[in-house]
Amino acid sequence: MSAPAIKFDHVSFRYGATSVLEDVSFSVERGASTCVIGPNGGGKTTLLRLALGLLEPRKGKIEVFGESPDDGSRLIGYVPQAMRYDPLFPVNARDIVLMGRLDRVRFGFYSKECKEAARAALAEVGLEREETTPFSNLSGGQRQRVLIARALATGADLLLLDEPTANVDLTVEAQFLDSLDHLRERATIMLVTHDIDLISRLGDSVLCVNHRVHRHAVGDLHGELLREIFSGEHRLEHDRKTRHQHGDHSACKHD
Amino acid sequence: MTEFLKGLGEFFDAVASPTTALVRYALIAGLIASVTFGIVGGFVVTRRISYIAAAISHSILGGIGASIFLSRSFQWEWCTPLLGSIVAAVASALVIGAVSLQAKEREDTIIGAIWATGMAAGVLFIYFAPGPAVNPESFIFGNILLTSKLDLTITAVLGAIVVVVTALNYHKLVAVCFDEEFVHLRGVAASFYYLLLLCLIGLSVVLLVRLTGIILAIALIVLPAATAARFSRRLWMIMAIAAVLCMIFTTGGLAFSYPTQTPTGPVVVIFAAIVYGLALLVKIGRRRGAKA
Repeated sequence: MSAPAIKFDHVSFRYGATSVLEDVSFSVERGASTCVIGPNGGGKTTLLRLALGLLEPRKGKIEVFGESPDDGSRLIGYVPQAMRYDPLFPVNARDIVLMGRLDRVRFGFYSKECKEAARAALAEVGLEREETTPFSNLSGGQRQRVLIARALATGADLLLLDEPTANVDLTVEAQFLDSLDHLRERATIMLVTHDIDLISRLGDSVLCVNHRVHRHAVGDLHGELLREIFSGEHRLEHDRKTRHQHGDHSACKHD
Repeated sequence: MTEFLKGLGEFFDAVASPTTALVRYALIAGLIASVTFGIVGGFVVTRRISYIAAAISHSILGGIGASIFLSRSFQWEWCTPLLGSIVAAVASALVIGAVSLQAKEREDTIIGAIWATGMAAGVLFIYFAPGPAVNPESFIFGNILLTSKLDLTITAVLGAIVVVVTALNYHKLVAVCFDEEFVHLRGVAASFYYLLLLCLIGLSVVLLVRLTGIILAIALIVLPAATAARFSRRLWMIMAIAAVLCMIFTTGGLAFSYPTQTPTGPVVVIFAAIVYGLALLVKIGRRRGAKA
């Protein structure tokens, strides 16, 4: 039987004296789509960074496709939030996607195969026409899709997405969700989000992270549980969408 | 005006004349170095690390001072100001890079410390160096017209190193500037490439200090690339435009300063600053035009 995509076995982590994750055990099976939710400061991003091998656990063991995170992280396509990048950095969509093949650069050049992989990845997220568009000219949602294409170009079997719909307007979010629907068929997806719609549409199961981790089926999530987990954040998101549907765009975010 | 034009004619005569090699060497050195400045300037401006380049350039006085002190005190003739400036530039680049990678919150502190300490150490080493007094101003403000044939060779060699190393590692350097963490996750040594970039900046600053001096060095790295960035959104294009602009500024600066007998370095920098200012105005004008 093949090893799960991610396995945390009694993992604890702390920043200095502050405990962030305590005795966390869970696994994400290959091909599954798992959403990670929880309050700010609950340890969601730390969980991702541990899986990527960017942080070392204080206790416990982490495996990525049966390997240590340092070795297994090459099988992960990490998609951070697009807003953390300098939008004026002078690269186009293809340059960024090609970075997914950076480990295959030889004598300063990308091979023809790398360029084809980048083109295919852009097509997979519906951006084949934006290949030469500067990053600064893309919308927030398009930038996020470029970063997904970069993750796909690595040939990754597991996509880790960190709040992909944060700071994206609702129209772009819909396009982005269509792309993710398509990607579920070819990769394991683990996605950090505060968006309840995203969870109900994409998640097979939900990991609730608040220093400890509990797994729930998407259908098990109910209002009381969410209120406990989010401390009210889901209501703000729900409120934003409801107002948008009624023509009040004052709470919408446009890029 | 007539005298200026006459002087300008004398400048071009001096460039062409086989007997007045200094002006020709200065011009060739400026043109060769411009390619390096364009390339490195592109990285500095887009990665927003001009303050690191400034700290490296100021630390070079420490290396120059130490080399003068050591060569005169121990008769180490091999310990030249050029060697001192290369060692100081690379050492500062590595220290700043290491601190930046390990503890980002301390980066500005270490930059400030290296900036000031390098200058202070340089002045003290020069003060205590035995033998005839050395005026640190010659290093602080530089003089491109003192370029020798050896300087020209060194400029060409250092410039070639920067160009070849950048060409071979271009994609990795760009990726490190855009997203260091992702590069690390792809199993590529992101820290190594960041330190390599800072060392390339250090070597370029050594070239610049010989031409424009420590204080003005940063201007020739930043201003042409910043001007080029107003007109292109591809990094290689920014580098190419910056290199051409730098060639124009260097040639223009030399051509203007020769007949007017003004210091070349400051003239070159003022030319670069004026063009950058005009580029900003064009950009603002375009934006307003688009809104209207």
